[in-house]
Amino acid sequence: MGRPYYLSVLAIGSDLVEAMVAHARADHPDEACGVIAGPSGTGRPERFIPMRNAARSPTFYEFDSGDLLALYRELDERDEVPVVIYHSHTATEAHPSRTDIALAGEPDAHYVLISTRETGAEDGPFELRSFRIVDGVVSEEPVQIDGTFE
Amino acid sequence: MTGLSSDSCKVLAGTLAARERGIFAPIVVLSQLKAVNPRNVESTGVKFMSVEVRVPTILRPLTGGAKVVTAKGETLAAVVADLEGTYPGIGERLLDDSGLRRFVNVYINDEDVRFLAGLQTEVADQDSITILPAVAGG
Repeated sequence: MGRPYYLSVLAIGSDLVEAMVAHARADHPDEACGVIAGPSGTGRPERFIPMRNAARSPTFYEFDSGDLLALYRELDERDEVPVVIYHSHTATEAHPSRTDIALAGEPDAHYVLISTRETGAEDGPFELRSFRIVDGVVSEEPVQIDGTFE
Repeated sequence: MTGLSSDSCKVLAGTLAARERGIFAPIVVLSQLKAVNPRNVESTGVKFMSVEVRVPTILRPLTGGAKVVTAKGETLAAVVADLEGTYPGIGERLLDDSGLRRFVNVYINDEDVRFLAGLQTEVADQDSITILPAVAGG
């Protein structure tokens, strides 16, 4: 609570960015989703955890309920938190939808959106943006990859 | 010792009567929370189970920051009502007027209650309940 999220930035390694983009392309035209975990209290995204989209849909994503419990149990055991929660949009921009905003349940997470609308499953330039979503308020934040701002 | 309000008597009596006939009680919705709160029926001498409830980050402002709390109740509905009594406001984050909210997942030990009996799922002493917001969007 009271986090000055307007001052936030997502600092992340290029390997993790590439992993998210590759997952988004592999699942195109369905939405891909997952988490990057990091040690509690550090805010550092470190461990890439792709998740299954139980909705298997081009317009919706949802972690399977059993997978979700297993994920949080594992994070707890390792004293990790979901630093990044990512998903793809396959026909629209890399910006949270109304549904994304209404359902965002991790006020401390960076919500990363990847859009595959331009390139689909193919290689090419990608669109990736990061947001905080707290109490229905969306704030975009800069993404710093390997110490360099995009 | 607080007495039973006539409303909570009716709901409790209806629930118990239905259970004796082997019928699941109707889904408890938000507006009935108060009536099934075990705090309101303690004078009946019924023994209520104590369970551990793991609270997700987004609800911790309501539990004073606590990640794990304890609650009482012999069904999930009663546990939620007990939580509401201790941490006002938590009930409406979990329930709406059709029952458990669609994008709130509640597990008893390892099972999603949607695959059990929902809010009517019976809770045993020392069970562990986990609440997790769905990770979902469009």
